[in-house]
Amino acid sequence: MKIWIGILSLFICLGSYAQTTILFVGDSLTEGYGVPKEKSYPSLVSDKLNKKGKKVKILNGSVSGSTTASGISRLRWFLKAKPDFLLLALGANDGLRGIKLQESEKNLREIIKLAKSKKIKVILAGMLLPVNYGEKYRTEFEDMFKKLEKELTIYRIPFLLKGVGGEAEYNQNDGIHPNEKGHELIAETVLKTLEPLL
Amino acid sequence: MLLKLAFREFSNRRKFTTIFLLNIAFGLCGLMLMQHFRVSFDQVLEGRAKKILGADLAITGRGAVPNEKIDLVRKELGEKSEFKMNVGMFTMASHKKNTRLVWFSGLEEGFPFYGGLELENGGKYPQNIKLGKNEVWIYPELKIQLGIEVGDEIGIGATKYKVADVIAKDHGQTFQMGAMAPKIIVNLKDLDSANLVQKGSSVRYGYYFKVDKTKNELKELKGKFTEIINDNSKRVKTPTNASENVGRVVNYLNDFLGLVSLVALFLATVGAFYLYRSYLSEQKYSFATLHSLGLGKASIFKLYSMHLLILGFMGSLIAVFIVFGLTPLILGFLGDAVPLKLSYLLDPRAVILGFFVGVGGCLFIGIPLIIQRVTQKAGNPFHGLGVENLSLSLRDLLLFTPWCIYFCFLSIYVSNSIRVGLIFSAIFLGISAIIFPVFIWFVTWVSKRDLSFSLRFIFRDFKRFKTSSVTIFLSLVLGSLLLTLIPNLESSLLQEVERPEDGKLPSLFLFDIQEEQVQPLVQKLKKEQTPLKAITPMIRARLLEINGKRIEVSLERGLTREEQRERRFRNRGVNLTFRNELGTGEKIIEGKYFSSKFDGNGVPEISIEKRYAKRLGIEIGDKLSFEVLGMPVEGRVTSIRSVQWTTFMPNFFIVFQPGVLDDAPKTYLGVIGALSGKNRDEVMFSLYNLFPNISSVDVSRLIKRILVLLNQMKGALQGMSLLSVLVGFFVVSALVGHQANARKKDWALLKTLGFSFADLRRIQLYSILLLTGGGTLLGVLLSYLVGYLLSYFFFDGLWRPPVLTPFVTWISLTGFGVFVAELAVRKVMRVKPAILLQEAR
Repeated sequence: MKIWIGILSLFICLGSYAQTTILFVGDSLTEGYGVPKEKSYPSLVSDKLNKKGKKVKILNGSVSGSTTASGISRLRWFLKAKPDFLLLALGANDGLRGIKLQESEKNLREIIKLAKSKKIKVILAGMLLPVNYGEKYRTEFEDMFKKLEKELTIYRIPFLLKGVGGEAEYNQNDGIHPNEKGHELIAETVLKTLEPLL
Repeated sequence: MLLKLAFREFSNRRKFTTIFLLNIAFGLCGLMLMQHFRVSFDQVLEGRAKKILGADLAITGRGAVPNEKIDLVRKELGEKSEFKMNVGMFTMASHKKNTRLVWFSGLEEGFPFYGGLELENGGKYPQNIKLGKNEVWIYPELKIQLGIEVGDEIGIGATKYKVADVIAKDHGQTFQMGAMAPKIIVNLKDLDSANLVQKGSSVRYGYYFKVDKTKNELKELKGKFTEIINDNSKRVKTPTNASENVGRVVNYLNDFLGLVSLVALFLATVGAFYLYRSYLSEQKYSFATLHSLGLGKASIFKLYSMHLLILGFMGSLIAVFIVFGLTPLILGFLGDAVPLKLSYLLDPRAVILGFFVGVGGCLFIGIPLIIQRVTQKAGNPFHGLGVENLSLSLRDLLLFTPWCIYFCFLSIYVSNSIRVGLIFSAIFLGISAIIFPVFIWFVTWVSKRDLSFSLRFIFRDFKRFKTSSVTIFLSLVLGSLLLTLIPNLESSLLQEVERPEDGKLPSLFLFDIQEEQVQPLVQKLKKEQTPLKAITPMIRARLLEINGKRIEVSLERGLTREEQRERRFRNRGVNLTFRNELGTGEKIIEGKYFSSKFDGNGVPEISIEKRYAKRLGIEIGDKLSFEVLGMPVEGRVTSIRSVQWTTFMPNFFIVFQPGVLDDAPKTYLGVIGALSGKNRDEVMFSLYNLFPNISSVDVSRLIKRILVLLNQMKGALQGMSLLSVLVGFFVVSALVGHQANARKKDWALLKTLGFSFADLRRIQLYSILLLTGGGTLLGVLLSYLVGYLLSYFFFDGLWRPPVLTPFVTWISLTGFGVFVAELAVRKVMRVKPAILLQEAR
């Protein structure tokens, strides 16, 4: 019995020192456009988790202006680093540019499938489009994320920019990109979904 | 009586009067024409900028401005001002099964105040056509993209609008809003029926004002309204230019025109100084006669000042008459070369400036010379032919101080820039201050050397008449410097506005091409014979450190908009590329471009664009540290490139040596060459269907508009250069001719002493070659130095000097001098010495 308790303790100790690698693949929101690297929400997520004693390593594979089309090549690039989690925050630029939603959905599906095939847990960050894009397009866009969550059994953040989108206080002058305060809020939103999974 | 005597001088000295008046008149003509041209060109540019903005003042931004703030602005602008609104947003437009992203813009009736739209059916908005209830006008590419025609319905938000016409020309198109998506225009009243403006919408509001204010007043109002609005997401705009690059070229042109005006001013001054000085030199007999007749020094001073005042006034008057007559002729002549509608009416400010410079300049430059002459010891003026005993004391030099101050102020006014005016004045006054003592020292030194008789004679002659020799030499140096300076700068600036042929211009930019799409895309375009001009890899990175020092900074609260912009620029990611060769329109200005692939040893090489390098303070040899998608990458700057933006090809601030970033995740940027309108729309449509993620941006309309402006600038540069060269040639030729003739009396004396024609000819040839040839050569050489300095100060170091033109000018002027002197010598040989000596007085 004592031996088993000893072995279990050893596993717990080892477990607490094992590092979790989280890969963020997104666009300018996740790249941290206009704010220093350490103030972008992926870095803040890392800081907060590490402060709580969770050993995480962040990889940020985000590119400003990118669409879902480039997600797969970036995931392939980072596979060498063997990430445990993929936070997929793509799709906003597809929607804003009016790209056919079937195409965006196909791209996201490919990325998620590749990640899953490598045993990477996927968190899909949901996006919403501004009201001016029209009810039909907006609903179809929002539903795309829900559909993928259901179909591929992944985790989903309902809206990445919750409390930030459209709020002048949390955005830079361009009204699109979050400022440092905005990134703080996004980090909290992400942690609500991510932390329980660690 | 003095006035009578002053007028009598005109008939007594007809030749001098004519040359002096023509010199002033031509110099002033150049100055006035350039001022007029500049004002007209400014007005044309301002009109164009107004058409782009659509108003005199605008407040734009995401989200609405509270009504009470707009009311405050309107109150400030007064009752006479007009106000209109414009609301725009990206949205999806649909027709049948097709859906496309569009820019949906609601214009209040009567907006824009300037410019507007031209429609395919011939209508011009807002001049002679209005939109009906729930009608829209669309950009032509939507016809193909949505398969829609005039009369069809287009679905936007909750409403179906009727397509009433197609937009053929949009004066207000800017790159920001017009290029990403085609426009649909609707009456502002009917925009709400689409039900797209709600909480959660991303909508841009524009508040436009038509006011009768000057540029400076608008600039002040801009600052005031920015404070009233007090919202960083809103911008108060006045008419400016379409893009940063065009704005830069406009600034270049303004500085250039300022310099050309200064050149005309300097030329007139140099000419006037030399001629009047020579005139006073020859007047010493008259001074002595008047003095011996009992006229006091004060009265002689008054007499000559009065004479000078009349000369200046008459010269200015002639210049105004010539310019009035010449403006329509010159504009008619330049009609095709300058594609600008310039005003034929002479700007009153140019006339006032003409009189101010003509009269004021003559007095400021002439009065010190008169004082010098009046206060010199009389001696025996009838003794010693041509002997000059005019010394150069500190007092004499101080007499010219008011002229220097007047001149600096005038330079600032004429160039419309403290910087341009002061630097230009400093360069020319500096050159004069150096040449004066150096020439005198050189002449004294050479005259003591063991030289041939002719040369010794000439140098001793220069030494004896040192003040007049140095004056003519300096006048010729400055005259030829000014004459060749403008072509020197012109060729540099022309290259900046040089454009490729129409067939080589891009028409579409393709963004977000994925690596696996490159081959199929290239094959498709090749099959359809669509010209793919470039396809360049683009890798996103963050620049973290320069030489180990972090460059990213926090955006603290309380920073000004400019500070925030600068910090965001540093925090912004950068796009990298890699290639072995320089791109179209690129040139290495420092260091060496890499020629091979990185072999894995040492630090990879980087090439940086010069303005980017300047902004971040990057120099050759600096080590830059990047993060490329989580991977640290370092590189050392080995070259700095200039990029000619008028090729309109996409360029990168940072280029890596191949072999470093090849495996990094990347997208490609494609450029499609010239296509006809219909062909362009079809290519965009087929690319959208085959590669939905690739965004095609039509840049042809924007490039076309910039090219029109560039053509106008090119015309302005060439027209102004031509004018300055004509004025310069006249003034310098007058100096050369006068100088060649001025020595007639010396030759008469030499002939009396028994010198042969061959001796005289040799002496005059050497003399002309040394003074005219040497002076103009030094001027031409200095024009390279001054050209370089001015390029450095005003034109971002764009200095590509011409090789041939300045030297052709030098040879022509020297040849002209030799020719005039030859005629003078021949005349001397034909006429009896006694008569010559009589004439020479």
